[in-house]
Amino acid sequence: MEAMKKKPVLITVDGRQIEAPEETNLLSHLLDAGLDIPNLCYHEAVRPYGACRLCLVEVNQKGWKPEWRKISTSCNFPVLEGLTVYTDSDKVLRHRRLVAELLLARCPRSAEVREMAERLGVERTRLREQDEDCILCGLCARVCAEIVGAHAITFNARGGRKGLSTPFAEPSRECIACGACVFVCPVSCIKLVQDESTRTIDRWGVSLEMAVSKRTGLPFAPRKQLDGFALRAGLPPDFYDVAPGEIERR
Amino acid sequence: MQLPIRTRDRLLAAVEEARKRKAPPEHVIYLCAGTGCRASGAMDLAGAMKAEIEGKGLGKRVLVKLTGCHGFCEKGPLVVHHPSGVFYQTLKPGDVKDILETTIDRGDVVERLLYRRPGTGEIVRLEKDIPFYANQKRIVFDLNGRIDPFDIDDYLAHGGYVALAKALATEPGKLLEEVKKANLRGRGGGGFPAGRKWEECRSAPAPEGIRYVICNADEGDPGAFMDRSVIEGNPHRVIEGMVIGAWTIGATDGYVYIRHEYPLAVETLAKAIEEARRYGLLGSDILGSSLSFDIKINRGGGAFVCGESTALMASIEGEVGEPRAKHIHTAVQGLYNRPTNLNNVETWANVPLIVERGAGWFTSIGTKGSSGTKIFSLVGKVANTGLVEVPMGISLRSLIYDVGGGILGGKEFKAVQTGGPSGGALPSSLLDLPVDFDSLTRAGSMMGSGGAIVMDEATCMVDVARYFTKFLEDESCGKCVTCREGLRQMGWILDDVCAGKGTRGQLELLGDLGEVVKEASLCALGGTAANPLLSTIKYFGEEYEEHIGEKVCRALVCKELIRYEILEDRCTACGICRKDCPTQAIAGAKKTVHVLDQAKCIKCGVCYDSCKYGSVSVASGSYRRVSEQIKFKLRPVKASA
Repeated sequence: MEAMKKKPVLITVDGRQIEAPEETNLLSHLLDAGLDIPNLCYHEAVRPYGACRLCLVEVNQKGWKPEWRKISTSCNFPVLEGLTVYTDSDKVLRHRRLVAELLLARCPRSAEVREMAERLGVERTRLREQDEDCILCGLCARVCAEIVGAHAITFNARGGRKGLSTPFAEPSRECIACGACVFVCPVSCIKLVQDESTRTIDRWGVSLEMAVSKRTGLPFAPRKQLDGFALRAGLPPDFYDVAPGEIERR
Repeated sequence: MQLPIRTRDRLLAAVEEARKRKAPPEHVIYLCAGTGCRASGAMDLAGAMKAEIEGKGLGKRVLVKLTGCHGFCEKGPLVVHHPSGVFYQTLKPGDVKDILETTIDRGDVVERLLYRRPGTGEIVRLEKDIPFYANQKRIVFDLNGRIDPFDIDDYLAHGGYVALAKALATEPGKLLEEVKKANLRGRGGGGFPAGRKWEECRSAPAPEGIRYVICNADEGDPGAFMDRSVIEGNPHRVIEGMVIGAWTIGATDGYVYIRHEYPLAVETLAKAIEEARRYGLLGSDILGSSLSFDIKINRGGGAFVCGESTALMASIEGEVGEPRAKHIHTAVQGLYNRPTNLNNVETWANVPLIVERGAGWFTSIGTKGSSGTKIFSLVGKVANTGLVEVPMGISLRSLIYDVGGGILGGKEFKAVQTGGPSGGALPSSLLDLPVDFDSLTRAGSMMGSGGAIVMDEATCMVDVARYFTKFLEDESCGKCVTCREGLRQMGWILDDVCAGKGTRGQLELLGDLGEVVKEASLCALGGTAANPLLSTIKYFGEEYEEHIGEKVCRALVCKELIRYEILEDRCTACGICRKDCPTQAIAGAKKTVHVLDQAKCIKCGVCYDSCKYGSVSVASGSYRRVSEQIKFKLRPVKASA
């Protein structure tokens, strides 16, 4: 929607001309153009954050000397008229590989990180390995705040001690166990377990009762999530008596 | 005086009135009550001085004025006597009687309290003749030791706010030209021309007519305290600068973002803002002009990264202090997405001076590319630690040797770290480098906000790199993988190198990490965080080589690489080291040479420091140092069989 209002401009990517709306997200257009730009912390549904530093490119803006190039992440760089982008220069590839080594050192057991590193030609890291499962990309916190509106997850501390948790790492009162964070997590470190009656996300300390469809007798979503949605959307009290999919089939 | 002041003429009249009212009595004792001197007992001294003056009935003739920081923190608590200009140092309440009887009653000096030149011991009576002061050029700091920061009339009596009145009678566009002509560059770190930033902010679209000016007083560099001291000593000059800036830019609201750990500065500033409002120098229709502008204080939680402009603005907004991308400048979209002009304390404090004395005067000080002066906090292994204001372009040598009095204890100079933790360490071969924005950056360091940490031969540069890298890792917001993980890995590798476990491959890796942290991180903290590492590799590469190749620390600092020993031909068996050793690693008895058990030694150096006969040595490879011989009655005992 927003993109439609913006003026289309021409940018040059690796020698190729691409038309894109001005001041929109550069990475999305590089991906649309079929370029293989590695990324872990980017998701089109939420605001870019620039944490993982994998989508690095070199840019040259209009008015700069032709030989000037600046390294920047493309996820939070705007499309600008006359912008020249280099996505596979030696420097870009070298930096991306070292970023992959840093991520691999942080999360050596993560299949997704290993896969990403291999894609960039990094088989092993020369750095000291830790045993973390989370890369601190913040997608869970962003989707929880921007899309779900629950604000259940937050960054805490800073520097090497930085973490992602519920406030004060206490069992969350805000979490509705909707699972959006589980869905967006690029390294699958948020685990959701569900049985007949409850859905549990241990990482946020929540275990919520499931609502059961009056038609099929099957659990389909946490009661707290449905109550919250019904309240926000002003839905009739019997709206979630059956699962939304079943309504469509009715 | 009728308040608030509503016209320029009335302000000038108020200045005259304040001058008369504040005319100094026969004697004034300017007593430094800055944070540094307070820590060494200035307030007790002040209490004793006031009581003694009261007791002697001298109240009418002698005024004790508590001022902000004089700069010479090394010698505090200190006072300067007016009209003589005599300077007394390291005072205790017990010295008060002597000062009053000798200097006030008899017009003589108390010799034992005077400054002495290091080395020669020659006495210097007057403040202006002390090399520490004589080699400075104080324009921003000029009134710091002379006015009472809690009294707006004292600032008026020294011509305060006259520059503001002049500015308000000048068209903003003209003022902007003057600031641009003065080439005032940001004193907070980047050295970006303030005039250009002002212009960008002024011409940025402001839909609701709201623009902000912010004063960055989030001084987080270890060992730096110039911003604190400017605010503590002369808060009105900063306020005056900000109001002039607001008029020029068209700003409506101002913020001072200041560390909560600066209680005295916050108190001083809060009082100053309140008084400025009462006098009509803040608020609506300032001095009868069309300018309405006020300042709020925003206290920061002490995160180093909040000194970065976008993190600072996020923090004011109540968000987490994390930098964001600045593809659109904060001057166009800053605080609450509105045009925002951020300058550092010292930059703002220069503004009234430029307006009052003109761009020509300002550019006559300093160098072509860097006009004016710069305040440095000169700390570390230098004789005269403290705050100094020097013209831009002064050489590092002059800064450290003329103003700073050289290296402490007659040791050799090794390096000076300028620009705070994200600056770089410069070696003795660069001592003649002019101190200005561009020269320092070219040398791989930076001006930063003006920290200058002097290091002597007993400083290990690998250890220094490790210290600053770990500081920055701890203070990184942790958002970018490169900065957070990169600095952490660099810190670990440096741990290995200091422990003698480093490899050549790691040294190469350090270089790679340094490059990626510098180029691929989002903000200036990450962008400069590799400077300590890269500059020490560049200028002190041989120390890295020694640590890695020979497992040697030439500065005798890195514990895993050094070894303490008791010299058996010099040991007097006095028993002090044996008594002091925390791990009972020293064996010996009366008249028996002492022996240090290496297996038990934790290399704390207590034996080295406690030995008064110069009988303990510390060594690493071929580098060796023997403890200082303080007692000379050397009667070594024979080594036991």
